[in-house]
Amino acid sequence: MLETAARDGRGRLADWTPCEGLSVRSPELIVPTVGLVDVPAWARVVVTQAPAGRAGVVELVSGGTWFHPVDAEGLVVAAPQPGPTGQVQVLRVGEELAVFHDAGGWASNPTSAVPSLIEARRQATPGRLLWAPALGSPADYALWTYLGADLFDASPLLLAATRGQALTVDGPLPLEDAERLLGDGEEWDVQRLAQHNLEAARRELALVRHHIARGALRALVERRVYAAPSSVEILRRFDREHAHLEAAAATNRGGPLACMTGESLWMPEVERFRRRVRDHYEPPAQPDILVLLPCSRTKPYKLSPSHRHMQRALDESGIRHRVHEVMVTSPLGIVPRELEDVFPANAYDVPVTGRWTLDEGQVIRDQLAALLARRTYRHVISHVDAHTQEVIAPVLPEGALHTAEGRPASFGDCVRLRDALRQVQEADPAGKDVRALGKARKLDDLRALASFQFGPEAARALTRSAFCHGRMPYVKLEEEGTGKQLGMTTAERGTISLTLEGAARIAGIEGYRVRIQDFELKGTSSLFAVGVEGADADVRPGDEVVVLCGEEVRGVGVAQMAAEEMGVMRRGIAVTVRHTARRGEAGT
Amino acid sequence: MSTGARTVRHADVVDYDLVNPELNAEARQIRETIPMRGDPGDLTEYIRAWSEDDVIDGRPCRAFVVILKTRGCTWALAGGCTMCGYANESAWSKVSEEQLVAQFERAWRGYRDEELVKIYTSGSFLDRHEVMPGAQRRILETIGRAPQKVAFESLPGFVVDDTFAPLEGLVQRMEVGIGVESCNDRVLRDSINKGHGFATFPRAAAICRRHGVSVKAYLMCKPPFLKESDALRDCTATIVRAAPHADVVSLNPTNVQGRTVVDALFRRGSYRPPWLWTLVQALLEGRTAAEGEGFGGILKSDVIAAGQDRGARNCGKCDERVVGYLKKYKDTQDKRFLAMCLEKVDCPCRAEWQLVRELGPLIPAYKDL
Repeated sequence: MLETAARDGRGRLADWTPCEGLSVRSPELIVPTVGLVDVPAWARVVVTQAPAGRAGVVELVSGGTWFHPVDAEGLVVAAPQPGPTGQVQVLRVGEELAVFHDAGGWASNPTSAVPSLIEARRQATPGRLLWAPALGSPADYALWTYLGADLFDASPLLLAATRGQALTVDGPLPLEDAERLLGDGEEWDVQRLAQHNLEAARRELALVRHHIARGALRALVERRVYAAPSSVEILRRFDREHAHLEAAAATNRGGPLACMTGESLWMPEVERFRRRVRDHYEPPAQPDILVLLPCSRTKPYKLSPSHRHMQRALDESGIRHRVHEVMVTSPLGIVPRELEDVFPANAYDVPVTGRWTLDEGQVIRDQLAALLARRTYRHVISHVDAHTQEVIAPVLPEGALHTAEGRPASFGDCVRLRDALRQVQEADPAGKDVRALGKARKLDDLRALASFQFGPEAARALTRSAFCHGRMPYVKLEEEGTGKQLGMTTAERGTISLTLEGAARIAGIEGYRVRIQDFELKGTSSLFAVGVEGADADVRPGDEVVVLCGEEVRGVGVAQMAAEEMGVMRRGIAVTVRHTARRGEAGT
Repeated sequence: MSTGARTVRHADVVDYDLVNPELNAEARQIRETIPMRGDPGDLTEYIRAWSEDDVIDGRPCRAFVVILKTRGCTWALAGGCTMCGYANESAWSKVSEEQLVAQFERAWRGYRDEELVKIYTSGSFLDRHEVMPGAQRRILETIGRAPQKVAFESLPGFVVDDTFAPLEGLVQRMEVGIGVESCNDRVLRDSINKGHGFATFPRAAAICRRHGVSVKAYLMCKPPFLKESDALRDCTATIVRAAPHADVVSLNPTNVQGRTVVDALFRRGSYRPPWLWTLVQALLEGRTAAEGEGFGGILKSDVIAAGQDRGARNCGKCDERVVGYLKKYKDTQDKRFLAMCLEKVDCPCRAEWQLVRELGPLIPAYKDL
């Protein structure tokens, strides 16, 4: 049995129970039985040619090499016949284990590491743990786990010991230095070195598991990769590839998201946010004045003192309903006000120096240019500090005003912003019924949020003949006439939670649907993976999803797995269901 | 295989049951990038010629070596072996009898009365499509009966009675080097893609003997996809099987040559050339076993690129000393030097070599193993 307890990136805590009463939690180390050193007492998995029925230990049994195969029984790892050198070979062992043959060889060259690991992970499917033989050391377990490896073996640790290397999370240390820096004054022999390396691996893998459980694996990876240029290179190449990491990355998870390095700019959650803003998001139609504002350390921005000042200025202008507020920031580029409660806009934490790096500046310009290409505003007011203004100036339209002379949240600058808006209203007045405009704007903003969340087509279907009331982050969407609730936003997720009626409105649109066999979900409960037939490819953990049987809505809830896991995994919760419908009850 | 046939055709030297189609396709594809295929240059110009030290009948001598630029090995032209880089030195276009003779005559101007003459062609000297019978004869005539011995190489399939008949008496003595590689047909097919089985070697060797031609067997230590533990097993067994048919057995560690399947593996990180320890151990075990069965010939190993990344190597610290013992053994053919090497060169890397052989069967990977 294989069940995932927690995920972060492609890293996962997966509990593997190859037989009754014997369980291993990934990522974990496989220890080969060799003469150099005894198998440590903490080892949970060994690979051996002489299975001995070790208590509490999973024994993988070697079937030898293809040149010299040996008879074996149990969980047999049989070597493959040689094939074309460019072909990734994935071996299946039992029901829940796959082996990425020669992972160490493939991964030693960054140009082959990326495509081969993606291919091996794909062939293995999420339903099997993936062992990456001859790969990994304490300095890069976090990286390889994050990229999709579940099991490592101790061969690189033992070989390093015979070469006089003590492995640490910062890379290898020569024996003399290790004795001096890590030892207790005694001389280390090769056995002692091997024990050290095994222990270093045990500790680091425990730490990796801890970080997965906390949703902080990426931050650990970014710290660790700086131990070696090749690790940085591999992380960058995977980030550039994007799809592989994005397909498993949760769209919503708690906790702060630390974006501290140059690499953070391209982490999958961040890049996905930017892409969705560029490709899915439809800005609200009503506001015709774009106001660009600085970001704040506090998230969501509106809770920060600086944003309170600036929002008061907007309120005092009397035309806030005409204003589309968009924050300029890194690494997300731009965050429209409607999205400030959405992960990761509500959770990212970035070092602020008052200067954007060149890469950050480019990302900001690209995002802003995409918004301006999609939507023509009658007026653009940039209320950002002078450095940010310099960064965005090349993409601002002609005639854009800059209203911040010093600190944008200062009294003087807030007055300048308010007055500039009043002047716009005087010179170019829009409708007078502020109440009606405010109400319409609320629906407009919710549609924009829905377009980010579900895509533009579903957003239109969801908000057609509907109205909104409440204040972000607690806005309710109701059907005109019947008053039936379609959905609402919540502070925890910042996105729209649907009712069955809301779900029915988007059930016909590809995107966020999970299909089940014909059974009824009971009350507020969980939909288990084993009952799932399949899911739309875009579904990620944290997404709001519609549970369908055929064309019929059977429930609505939050996905706990990515699409690629659903229908493959045989254990674990696929969707936590909020509302359920009986057979024939909810319609389509 | 029709050894008595008057002409030997491609199909006669390739046994398709011993071809690995996937590896052959890859080898062929890799060889498409060989520069000589675009521009073979002057076809009357040989590749290289030089003079070197060698041994003849157990005593040191000088050898004159020439590499001719031929159309190439018939098997390499079709795809070929996974480790062989000699195709890089083939013209990949027709080279006529006149051109070959012109090449040799140019090179021969550098001949300085060496006792041994070695002619290499990056293919088979006895392949009539590569070195026409006329060229074979005229080259040997040029050499004449002054040198003690003339050595060349050939696929075993080209070693037939009819090939030797017209060459008889032209030179004092001939030696044919044959790439035996392994006695294991699975290695020959799925690792080397040799194109024929081991059985062709004893057959060819018998024909050589019949014509008074000496036989030199080239054995391969650690072709691709073999672990260090496999390699030791394979080449020890091969020494024992090949020795009865050969006057000289030469154990060649695989070195990584450009534009080969091995090179593709190596560049990724999936191939490590054999340890020098493996060579020493295989020579010692193989010699001991072969002597037990009456072998009295020469068994040696010429290590190319020893100690370098792409050649047989140990840790880098002890390589020179081990190569020194190998050379002493080669010159004396006294296996005590091999035992002495294992005993006296007490380098810490022995522990790694030991571990590598233990890990080989346990870890499903090629890297470092």
